[in-house]
Parts: sequence; structure tokens; C-alpha cells
Amino acid sequence: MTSSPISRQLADYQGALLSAVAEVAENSLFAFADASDEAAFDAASTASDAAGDWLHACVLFTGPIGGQFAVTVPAALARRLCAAFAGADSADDIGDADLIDFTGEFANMVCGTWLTRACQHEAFNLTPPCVQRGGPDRGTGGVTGDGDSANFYLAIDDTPIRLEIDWGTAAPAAPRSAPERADAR
Amino acid sequence: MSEPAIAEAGTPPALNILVVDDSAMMRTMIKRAAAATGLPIGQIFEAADGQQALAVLEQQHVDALFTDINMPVMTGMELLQQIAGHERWQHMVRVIISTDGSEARRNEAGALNVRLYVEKPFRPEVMRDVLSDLTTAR
Repeated sequence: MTSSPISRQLADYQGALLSAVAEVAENSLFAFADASDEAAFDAASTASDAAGDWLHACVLFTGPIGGQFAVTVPAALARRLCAAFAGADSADDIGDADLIDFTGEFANMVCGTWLTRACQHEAFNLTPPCVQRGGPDRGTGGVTGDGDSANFYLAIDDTPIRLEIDWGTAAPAAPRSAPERADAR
Repeated sequence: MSEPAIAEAGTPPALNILVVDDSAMMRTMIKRAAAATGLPIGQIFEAADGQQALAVLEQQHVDALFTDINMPVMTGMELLQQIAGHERWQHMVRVIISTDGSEARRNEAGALNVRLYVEKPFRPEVMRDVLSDLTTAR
């Protein structure tokens, strides 16, 4: 798929993504979002306590613009946010299935919020999220500023996360059945 | 099929709700927000997609349908199209809870008799406003 001028414009607009993450974090997760950078993400990804336990969630979007949106978060942060979302007393109360489900829904909410603000008048479709568990590099392989994909670095409660937008993977994906959200690890 | 709850004199009838979302966590969050409103809520049913929702609707009395849009198997819009025009569900209140807040989608929902449109993410108190609006309007 060829990048359209609007897609490049949006890829350059990190503020829109920060706004979407902030809206999700503040409205549903009782958390605070801020800008961050690749160096902070890399430092977090090599920290001994988080090196191997990350969650990667992606959704495909179609409509006036199309592509793949992905978010990569440390599992510990996802677990804390999930507890806040669920109203759980402690992050320790969150099981792995709920953690996977929540991370997918987080990606869905951020992508949908971003697209609603970006497109405004035109409807879009999102595929059910696909969630994988592994290291921080288990993503689409997008490299910052490489043309058809872009990475954005933000922080939630001072913990770095990575957002990836790939404009080249907008081909329709087979609808994922609901249990796959919990099974795809 | 269950029958509508009969309210005591002076109290509004309890609202039976069906929550349709492919995220179990989102369904839990919506149920929790509904329960926290203090408003008279009857039974809360759940479905993970439109097809499951239709099965529930065939079996249960539901006063208000809260549905996501983007779901596997059958989307929320397809669900609304399926139930449109059926006299049985004529008085059931339709509410969309979705990340897609675009003008086009809102117009599409309006044509399918959707009464309220809630954008995700939403604060829990939004659910109180929605349910309060639904209970007082009955």
C-alpha cells in the first residue's frame, strides 16, 4: 500500500497519539500519560526486571486511512493498568487471561480514539486485537521514520511504552475469534 | 423467556441490560459501572458478539442493549440491523459503546434507532448518566 499524504501527516503528528493515550489513561485507567523517547524505552527494555515480559497488541484499521496500529507495554505496567480498569484491589488479582484481554482493549481504545479525532467525519473499522507476549522487540519490525512505518514513544505513569503505525499492512485480516485474544501469547 | 420485573409502587422498574462486547474486561467494567450507579438494575446479561447477543435476546427480556461495534462473528451494526423492525424488540433501548465516534458512524447508528452513543474510553460516571436517562424515560 502506498502512503497517502494524509497518512504521512498523521504519522508525523505524535501529539495526536499522545492525546489519545492521555484520554484513555485518564478516563479509564486513573493514570497519567506523557511524551517520552526511544532512549527511555530502550533503557526500560533492558532493565533486568522487565527484559523478557512485555505485551504487544495490534489492530488493523480500514476506512479513510488504513494500516496497522500496535502498542508495546511492559507486562507489569499492563497489569497495574488492568487492575485500575477492572477496579481490582491489587494488580496481583489480575490473571493472565484478563491481562491479555485488557492489553488488546487498550490498543483498541487508543487506536479508535486516535482515528476518531483524525478522521472525524468518516467511519472506520478495527479488527479484533491480536496480543502476543514476549520481549519488547516482538513487534511489526517498524523502524522509526522508515517511510511506511513509524514508532512513537510515550510514557504512562513514567513507564515508557511504544506505539507503532504501519501504513503498509492494511490488507483485510481474517476476523479473529474472541478466544484468540486470550490464546495468542 | 424471562418476564419483565414488576416494580413495587413508587419505584421505577428494574432495568434488564444486555452488554455486548468482545472484551470480557470491558463487559466487566460496564457491569461494574452500572452496578455502582445505585439505580434499579435487574439482570445483566453478557454476549461476546452480535450472534451471541441475538441468542440472549431470543431467550430473555432485555430493556436496554449496550453494544460495541467492532466485534468478530457479528458486528454491533449487523446486530442492530438484525433486530431492526422486529416488533418484539421495538421498545428495547439501544446504546452504542464504541471507540468509533465518527460522524458517519453516529449517523448510521441513528438510522438504526440507537438512542445514545457513548465513546470509549468513558468515565464510570457516564454510565450513571446514561442509565439515569434510560430509567427516568421509561
